[in-house]
Amino acid sequence: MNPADRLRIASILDAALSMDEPEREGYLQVKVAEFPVLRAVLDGIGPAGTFLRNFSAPDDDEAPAEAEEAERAGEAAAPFAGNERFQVIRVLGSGGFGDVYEVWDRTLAINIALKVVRNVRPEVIASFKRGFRALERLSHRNVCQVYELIFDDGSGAWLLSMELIRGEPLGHYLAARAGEIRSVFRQVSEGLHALHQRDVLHCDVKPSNVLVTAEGRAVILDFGWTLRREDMLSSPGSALAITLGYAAPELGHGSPHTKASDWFATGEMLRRVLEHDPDAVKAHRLSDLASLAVWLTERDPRQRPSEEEALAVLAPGLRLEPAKPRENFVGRRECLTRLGDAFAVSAGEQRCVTVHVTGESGIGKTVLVREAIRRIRLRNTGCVCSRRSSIRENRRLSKPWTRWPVRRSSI
Amino acid sequence: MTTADRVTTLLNTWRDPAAREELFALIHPELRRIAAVRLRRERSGHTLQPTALVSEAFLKLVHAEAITWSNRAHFFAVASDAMRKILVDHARKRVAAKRPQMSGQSVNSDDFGSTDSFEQLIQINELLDRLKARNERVSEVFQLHYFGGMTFDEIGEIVGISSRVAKRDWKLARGWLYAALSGTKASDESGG
Repeated sequence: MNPADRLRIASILDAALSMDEPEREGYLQVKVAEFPVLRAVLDGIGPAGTFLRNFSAPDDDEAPAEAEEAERAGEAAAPFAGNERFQVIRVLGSGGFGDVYEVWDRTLAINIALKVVRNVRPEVIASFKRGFRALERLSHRNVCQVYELIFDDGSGAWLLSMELIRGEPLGHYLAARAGEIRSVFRQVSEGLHALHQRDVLHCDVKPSNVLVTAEGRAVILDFGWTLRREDMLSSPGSALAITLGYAAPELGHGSPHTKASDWFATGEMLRRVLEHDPDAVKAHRLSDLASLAVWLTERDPRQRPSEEEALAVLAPGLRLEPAKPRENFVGRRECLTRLGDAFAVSAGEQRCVTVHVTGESGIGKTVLVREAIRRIRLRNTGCVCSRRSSIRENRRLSKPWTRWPVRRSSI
Repeated sequence: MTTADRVTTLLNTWRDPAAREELFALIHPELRRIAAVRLRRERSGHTLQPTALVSEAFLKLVHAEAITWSNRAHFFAVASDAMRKILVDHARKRVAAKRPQMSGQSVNSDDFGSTDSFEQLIQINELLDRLKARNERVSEVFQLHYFGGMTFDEIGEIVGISSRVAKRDWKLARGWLYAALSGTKASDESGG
């Protein structure tokens, strides 16, 4: 490395060391784009990678497979440069599946946050979309509002547009404002409860995913890993990374995320905030929160408080709404009849029948097919299998129905 | 109570600073003993794997089958601190002794550090203090991975960050140290 490059790299890295995430990541991304030698040094390519070898631990990648995949994708792809609708202003940070930018939305004429997700596995995208649909209808002051999920042909990326929150991460905010610990955690618990009410699990609750605005509004954000509870139950452990400092112990043994694991992470955040400022417990009478933090972080999930019990301490007086009732399916009788008839033909004649259900995104195709399958199951004693063929996510059925040695239908 | 029982008990009371101190006191001598045996076998400048040493100490000092993943990470955190001390002490002695195999080595600028490992280790140790002053977390992540052989998952658990952030910190620390060491080397070469 020539002396000029070395000096420049030293100066950039010195500056980076004084920054916090995610500012540092944004800064380094810009510098790497300007100065490719820096990329080689950071990635340990060439002499930069060999200089530590004698005493170095293996430089293995211990990131979870999905994160690794996302990271590879991120490295391979050029930064999102904007499109006709979105003009990139700056990088806000990097999440599990992609980068988040502040952009100017020419259509809405406002600044928004845009998460750019690309080159991740199709089923992850499918789950991501279902999570988005659950969140899309949620409007809560303590949950970052999601606006749209768009596929961008130009960059081949999924774009999730969200409310732009200008605030500090929870830990930074509370470090200087111990008097607001109760208020902030009340808001966090209300936001989390609102998510859970819609059967959505956050899966990555941690201080950097909670921003607090200058007005003291706490907002839960980053739904990169958020999943519908049903997806989690159907494929535990799939498509997930966890933040180890905040992950409930049972997740390390392969158990799926649950409401209890989201609450564990909240308890761990609370515990760390209170440990950071032990005097605050006495000064601001937070002993009930300190006890709750211990309770929420019990190793055994059965020993932890229920959501209602946690909310009784964190958000006393909050009106707990009953969980959203199962959606009642109404109408579309003709469509259901045609799907039922198709099954009858398939079952009766022992042949494959394909029914194409088409329509605009969000019109209710999945709900229709689910309802048809539910009704067929109720009326038939045979085995009815269902599987998603995520063509839109570039994935076909991996196990053809014809292999199943049972009465079958293809819908 | 055997040493293994005591270490296991201390790992379960990890949050207590006194427990960590006692743990260090228990781990350090065993780790030093294992390292001494290995270092006698190795020629100077030869490969040395702190990870292997720490793992060996772990198996000797802990009822491995009874320990949780989290406690394993805690053990390695303490051990990385002990490992750094042991390696740096050893490197200082070797450099001070100026054994023939040290002075006779050539330095290839394309293979920086492969033949002057002990000097480099001492320099890294000193630079780590400077790095710590600039960013304590990045310095800690480097120490845990470099001297303790901890995985990024384990580092994340200890430091309270995600494994991806731990890896980014590691890359930043490595890059910063490389630039700093290159500067030292360049000035050494131009000076002599």
